[in-house]
Amino acid sequence: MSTDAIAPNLIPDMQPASAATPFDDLETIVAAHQQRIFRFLLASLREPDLAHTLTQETFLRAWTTRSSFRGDCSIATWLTRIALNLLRDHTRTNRFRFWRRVSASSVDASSIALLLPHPDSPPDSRLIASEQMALIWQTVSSLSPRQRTVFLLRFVDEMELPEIADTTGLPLSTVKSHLYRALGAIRARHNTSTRESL
Amino acid sequence: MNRHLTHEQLCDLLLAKPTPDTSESSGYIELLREHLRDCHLCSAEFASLSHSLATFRSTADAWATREWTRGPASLPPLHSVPARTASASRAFTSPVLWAAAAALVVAVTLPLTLHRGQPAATKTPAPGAVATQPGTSQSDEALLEEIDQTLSSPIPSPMQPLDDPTAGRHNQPDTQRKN
Repeated sequence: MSTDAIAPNLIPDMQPASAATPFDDLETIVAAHQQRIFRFLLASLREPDLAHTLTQETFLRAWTTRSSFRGDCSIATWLTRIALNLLRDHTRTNRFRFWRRVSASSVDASSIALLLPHPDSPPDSRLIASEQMALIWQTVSSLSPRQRTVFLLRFVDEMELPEIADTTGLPLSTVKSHLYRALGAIRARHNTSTRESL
Repeated sequence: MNRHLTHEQLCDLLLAKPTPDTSESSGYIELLREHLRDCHLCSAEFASLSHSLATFRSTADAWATREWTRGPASLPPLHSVPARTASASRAFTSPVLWAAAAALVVAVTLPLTLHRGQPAATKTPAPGAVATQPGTSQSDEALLEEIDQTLSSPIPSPMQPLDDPTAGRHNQPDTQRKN
C-alpha cells in the first residue's frame, strides 16, 4: 500500500468542517502517521488484514471527530489514542472472531522472528537469535492487553513514558508498573533461552 | 552500590533515555550506569536485554514495512462506504455470512409456506363463523334455557332430595329406615 492509499479515498466524499483543524489537510497527516499506526496495530494484533482495516478506521474516525481535537496533545498521540480505542473495541467483540476467520490469518511468532536482520552473522548465531526473538514475540502475546499495549508503545513506537500515560489515560506510575511486569516476563524467558543456548 | 541491580533498577535503565537529561532522575540513572561500568554481570545482562529489545523493534519494523507494501488482501475502498466502517463492509463479503443469511430466510419462509398450504378445515374458525352454524345455535339456546330454569327454581339443586332408585318397589316405613 502506498503512503497516499488512504487519503484520496477518504477526502472526496467528505466536506471539511466549519472550524479549521490540522486534520483538514488529511493527506499530509495520513502520509506522516499511517505506517506508524499500522506498525503498532500489526504488532498488537499480529493480523495484517485486520491491522490494515483498523488503520483505515483510525484515520476515518480522526476525520469524522476532527472537531473534537483541541490541540492539547500531539497529533501522533491523538491518532494513537483512536487506534487504541479501536483495538479495545475489537478485543471486546472478539467473540465474533469466527465470522471474520481471523485466527487463520494470525501470524506465528516464529515467522515474525525470521524477519530478523542478520548483517554478516554466522548461521548458528542467526538461528539462536531467531529463536530468542520468537520467544520474545510469544511472551509479548501472552502479556495482558494493557501490559502489551504499554510495552509496544514503549519498545516499538519508542514513546516516552509521559506520552504513553497521555495516550492510554493511565497514571505514570501505572504505566511504569506495567512496563516492569512486562519486562519481568520477557527477562525471565530471555534468560532461560540464553542459558539453554549456552 | 555493591550488590547487583534489582529488576526495577534494570528496568529503569532500559526505560531511560540514551542521552543524559536534566531531569530529577538523571542523577539516579547516572548512579545505575556507574554500577554497570563496575559490574560485568549486570552489564552483560543489560546489554543482552537491550539488544534483544532493539532487535524486537527491528523485526516489528521490518514486518510492518513488508505487510504495508503488500497491502490488504481484500479491503474495499473507503469512499464506497463512507457511512459504514470498513470492517462491517468486509463482513458482508463473507460467504459464511451469506450462507447463514440464506439459511435464515429459508427457515422463516418454509413454515409460512407450509402453513398457507394446509386445508381450510384445520384453520381456527373466526368468531362470526360460529353463529352461522344452525346446530350450534340450537344447542346454545337449549343450554341458556336450562341455566335460566336452574336459577329460577326455589330450591337449589344441591338441596333437593336425591331420586330414590327403588321408589315404587319397596314400601318401608320411615321408622324402620331410622333403625
